[in-house]
Amino acid sequence: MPSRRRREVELERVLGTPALFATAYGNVGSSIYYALGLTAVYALGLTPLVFLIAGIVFAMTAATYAEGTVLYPEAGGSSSFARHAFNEVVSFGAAWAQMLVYVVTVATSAFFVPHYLSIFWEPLKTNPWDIIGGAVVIVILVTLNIVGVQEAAKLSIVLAVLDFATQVLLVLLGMFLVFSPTILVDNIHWGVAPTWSNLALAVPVAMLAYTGVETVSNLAEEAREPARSVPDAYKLVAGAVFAIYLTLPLVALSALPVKMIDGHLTTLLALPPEQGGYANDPILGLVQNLGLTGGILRVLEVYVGILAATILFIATNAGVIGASRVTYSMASYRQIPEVFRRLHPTFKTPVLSLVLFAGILPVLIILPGDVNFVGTLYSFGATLSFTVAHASLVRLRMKQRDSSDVFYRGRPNLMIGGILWPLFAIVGGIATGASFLVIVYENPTTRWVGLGWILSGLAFYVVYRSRFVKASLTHTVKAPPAYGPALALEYRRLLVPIVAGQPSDDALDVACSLAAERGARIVALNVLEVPLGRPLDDALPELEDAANDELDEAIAIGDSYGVRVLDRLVRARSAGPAIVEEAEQRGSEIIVLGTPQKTLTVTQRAVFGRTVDYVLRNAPCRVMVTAAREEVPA
Amino acid sequence: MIWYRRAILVFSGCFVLIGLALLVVTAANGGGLVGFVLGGLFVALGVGRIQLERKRGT
Repeated sequence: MPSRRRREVELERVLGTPALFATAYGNVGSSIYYALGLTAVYALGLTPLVFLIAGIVFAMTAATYAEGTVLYPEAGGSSSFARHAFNEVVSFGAAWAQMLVYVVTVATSAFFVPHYLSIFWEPLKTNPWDIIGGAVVIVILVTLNIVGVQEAAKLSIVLAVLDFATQVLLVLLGMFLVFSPTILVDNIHWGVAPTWSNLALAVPVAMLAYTGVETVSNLAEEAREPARSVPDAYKLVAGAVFAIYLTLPLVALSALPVKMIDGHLTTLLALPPEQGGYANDPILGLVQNLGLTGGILRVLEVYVGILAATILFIATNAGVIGASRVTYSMASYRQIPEVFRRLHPTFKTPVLSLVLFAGILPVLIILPGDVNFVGTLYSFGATLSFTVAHASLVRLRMKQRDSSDVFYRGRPNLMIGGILWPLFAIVGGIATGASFLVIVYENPTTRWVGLGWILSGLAFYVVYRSRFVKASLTHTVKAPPAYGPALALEYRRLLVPIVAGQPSDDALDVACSLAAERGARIVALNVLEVPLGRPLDDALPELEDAANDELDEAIAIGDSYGVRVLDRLVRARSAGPAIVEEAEQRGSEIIVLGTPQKTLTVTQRAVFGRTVDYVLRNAPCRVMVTAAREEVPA
Repeated sequence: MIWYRRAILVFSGCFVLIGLALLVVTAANGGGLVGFVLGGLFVALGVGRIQLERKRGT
């Protein structure tokens, strides 16, 4: 029976490194379609250098997110790190900044979709048609998300691969057709074009190219083994974007060099379409200036236009989902009213948060039709959020000073005073903090809109917590589970620890029966117990293979009941504390544990006996213990 | 893990390819410090990463 079930598992249901990487690259890789033009507006001939600097800062930020996410594999990113490192008010600040990032991501990505579709109808490149087109994209996606259409994982992977391959192709074509080191050197006019202040502003704006770094963190909750897959996915994303984001600007600035236009030193990459420039569709601008002609040019234009529009459409959708997830997470921690996580009675989706944060606010942002404002506003939120993430990681390292049982640590580090200081987070934090200050100082409109967003959010938080929640601003308060109107006892989040043998299968059957009636979600947890004498990240291939097989089987059992089973593999010294910790982190409402009647091996009895005992004594929620059915002799 | 190693090899190959393209094009255009330095760095980065992965694999 188990082997039959195992064969039924669809591989794409397991969220490992490939799926995490593809989703993240689908997001981050989409940014180049707008970030190149927006950065060139400020950086001109120094655009490649600015992308290099922003890329190094991105690598440090990715390292911080990788370590933080391995420590706390839950949705929230910087907000979650800040909660564990500092307190709830800092966590709120990070979440609110992150919300701004998602709102602007939705606005930016949607606004650029019509620009790339202008290959079919020229007016889509300019106001007011790009505003109308962007608003239509937002309305469609918010509606689809309210109705509850699922994102196809396979499609995301295919598009991410197609996107990367196309970008490499453009780089290679550009290298052979237009690349010129002489032009790149001639493009630079230190202190004049760009001016020093514009150069300073260009670095944070270039961080727009790295939109989506939080994606992996938000998905880590559903990853099987985040301790391995999250750092690997971040490393791959960092490598891929570094290769593209350094070389594509080199080619673009060779094809569209800095020259005197209307009395100013500038590049067509930085000019709006009204002045014959390509700021609204920089990659199409590059294609049109590669020196190709005739049918080949037209085919490449149409291909790049459709691919870019599709990828930006999916990136907009990721922003919509991100905004609703952050809202849900904030409401769950009572940072904003619970009404924002209330689900629609029919569609079971958070309608209010989708309409307000993913619909109305992004449309308001694109209404002025000013791409530069959108870009700097994104950088305002992103640099603030990244700075909080870096600071949180430094604080967490200070808290872990005596702990040697840490599965993953980013590098490089420096040991001083018994603390392993994360140099990448310290330097990254200084860089993103300085970038935030530059944005605030240099750009008055963004300064007032951004600071207005943060201050109004904090004011709302203070009033809400003190008058309605009646709790301290700094304490973490979790909202109770969202029960249905007529159900006094309803389990929406079930945790089932899995060990080899029948007892776990039985527990999973019981859990699936409970979950199937309520449309609930099950987390199947397999704890790999690592002996004290061996490091936590030691290779245990046989045990890992067995654990993965058991988790595959758990997913298959869930499928047979029509229940979604999320799988999680963790390494720990002892199963009991790991189960309790997982239940706490996920806010599980019940743990369903299997226990044998009498047919277990000596090893299983030893492990499971003390595990059940520990969980019963320490669980933060209800515990159900199921006894395996005995085989009746024929 | 196998998937991760394969991805590393593909990306490192892309780095080497881009680096070689930079070197060839720079040479064909009569040379230039920027092109040679960037091309060399890309090739070195790609080859270095492949070597590191091979060492870890053995």
